[in-house]
Amino acid sequence: MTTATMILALVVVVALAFDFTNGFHDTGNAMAASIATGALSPKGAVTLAAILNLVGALLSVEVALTVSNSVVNLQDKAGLPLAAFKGESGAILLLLIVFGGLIGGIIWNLFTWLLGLPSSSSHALLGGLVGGTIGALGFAGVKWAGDGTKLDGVIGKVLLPSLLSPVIAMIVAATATRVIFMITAKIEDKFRERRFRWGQVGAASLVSLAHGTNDAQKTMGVITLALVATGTVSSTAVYVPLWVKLSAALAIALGTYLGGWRIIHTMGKGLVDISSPQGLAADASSATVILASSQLGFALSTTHVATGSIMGTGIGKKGATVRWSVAGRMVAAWAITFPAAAVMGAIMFWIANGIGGIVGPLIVFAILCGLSFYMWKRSRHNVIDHTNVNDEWHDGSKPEVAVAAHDIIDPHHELDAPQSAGPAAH
Amino acid sequence: MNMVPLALEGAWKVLAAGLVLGAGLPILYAFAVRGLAMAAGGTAIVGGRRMAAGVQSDKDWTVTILLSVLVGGLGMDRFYLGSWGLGLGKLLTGGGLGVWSLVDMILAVTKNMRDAQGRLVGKPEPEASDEDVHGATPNVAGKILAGALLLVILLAVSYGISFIVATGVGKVVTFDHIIPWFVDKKK
Repeated sequence: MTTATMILALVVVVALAFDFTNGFHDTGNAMAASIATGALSPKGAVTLAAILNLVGALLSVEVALTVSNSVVNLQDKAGLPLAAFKGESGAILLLLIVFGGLIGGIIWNLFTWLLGLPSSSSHALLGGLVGGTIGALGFAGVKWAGDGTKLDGVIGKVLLPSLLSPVIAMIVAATATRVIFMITAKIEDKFRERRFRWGQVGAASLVSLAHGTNDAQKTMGVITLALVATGTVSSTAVYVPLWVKLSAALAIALGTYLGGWRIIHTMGKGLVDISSPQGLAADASSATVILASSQLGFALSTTHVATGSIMGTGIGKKGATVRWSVAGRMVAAWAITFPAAAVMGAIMFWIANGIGGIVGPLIVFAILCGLSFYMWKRSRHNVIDHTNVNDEWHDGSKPEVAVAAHDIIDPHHELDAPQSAGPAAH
Repeated sequence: MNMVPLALEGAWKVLAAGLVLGAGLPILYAFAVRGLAMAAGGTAIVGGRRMAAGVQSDKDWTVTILLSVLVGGLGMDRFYLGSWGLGLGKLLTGGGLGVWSLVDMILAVTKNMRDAQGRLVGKPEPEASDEDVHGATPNVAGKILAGALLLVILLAVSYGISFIVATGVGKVVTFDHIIPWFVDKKK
């Protein structure tokens, strides 16, 4: 077994681990609203999301073989590694870039999960890859703006979409929310709340499906790149082996099933108090924005879209309040995700490459395991899981719940505050 | 930096698609919920009162079904029940392009249709049950069936959205239609 093969094995393991964190980091994108309104029980929601992610991942026919191409210069247009990575030492260098990048991404994903912040998994991955590349090739290896004829590079694929996509999602969701409440103004809250749940489940499922088709293929692309680099997959016709597809799909589904409850709690309870019509508006907005963008060939982060949508429903409903302090913290996390993952990726590459051989990557792997364990340990101090994910948000900034006149007259009436939304949640 | 106009153009297309479909679908759904609430009457409407148990419409159930099936698209079933507004609405929209007629047919056959006074046609008002408060709980088989159905619908809808975006909204309504002076025509 050569050194390259051993590193390749590590890269595959770490790529699947990243895929797993991607799944569980992003469960909330699709399911936070449904869980918060009680349209689905927490366990039911993550199960549904996991199944749909699995289906979506396996459905994605056209896998992004050139995922890294958008931000770094490692591959040519066909997905083959550039000439600089020929030969055994070249292959090892490429593997270490990918390795460092993936580990940077995982660490950032786990760290933001610990803080309960929904940050973008795609930014973590791309940032990590950029960091690894800077470590290996310097700043010249990074594709900042492409050739300027299409949306490409760090600016076109990361920066601009992350500025625009949350705003678009917010406008769509706010419009939908406002119109829905105008149309259903004459309907009793309880009736409305119950009828909208079905639509909400449908829309949330659509987001899950879209997430599976989008995100799992990034990992598939990265693993395939590593396989091509070592010549395990023929370098004349790049294809994704079936086992890569299956294992990536399973990893993202498993991650989704375990559910990032901390992030779900922030998205469902921390930003806005949502009712099921708002949930439908948010999820339908997320689903169409994600599907439309990927259809038109724009890169974006499902996390940014989903959180933008949820904020939009808060803006669209009269009397509802957005907790801007939470939103601000989240946007700060978005802004530093890419650079932070890049720094981690670069450091990890330097350690692995500096020590060299198989020992370097193994040490980095050990660091990853240690940090993961530490963060998991820290998370046990205040556990958030499916039993308490719907608890009220505690940071002293409770928004006022609008109380309509008829609610005061009838004290037995269920308010549209989501904590009382349904017995299914308990 | 000519990527900014490119990004804005892309953003416009996504926004257009989002508003048409992402806001359009929930709005259609809201109309459906409103229709259901109007059909259910009573406690589903703000200020509405629940019919006393045992009250039944004096309109004939068989006549209602016949009218609904045969000339429902013209709103005749609703006119018969005294709901002039709803009947007129159906007449003018061609039975809500068939969907409204279909819903009304199902309501009539399942004895859930109400006349202008909010009384059920064909059966007396039932006692208020626990279901009114919490909703019916479907059985396991029902859940699995519903899940499979949901999946099929989702696949169809997502491919539909992709297709519409790729062929329709994104191409027909382009950025230059809206803000022509923004895009440099010389290129």
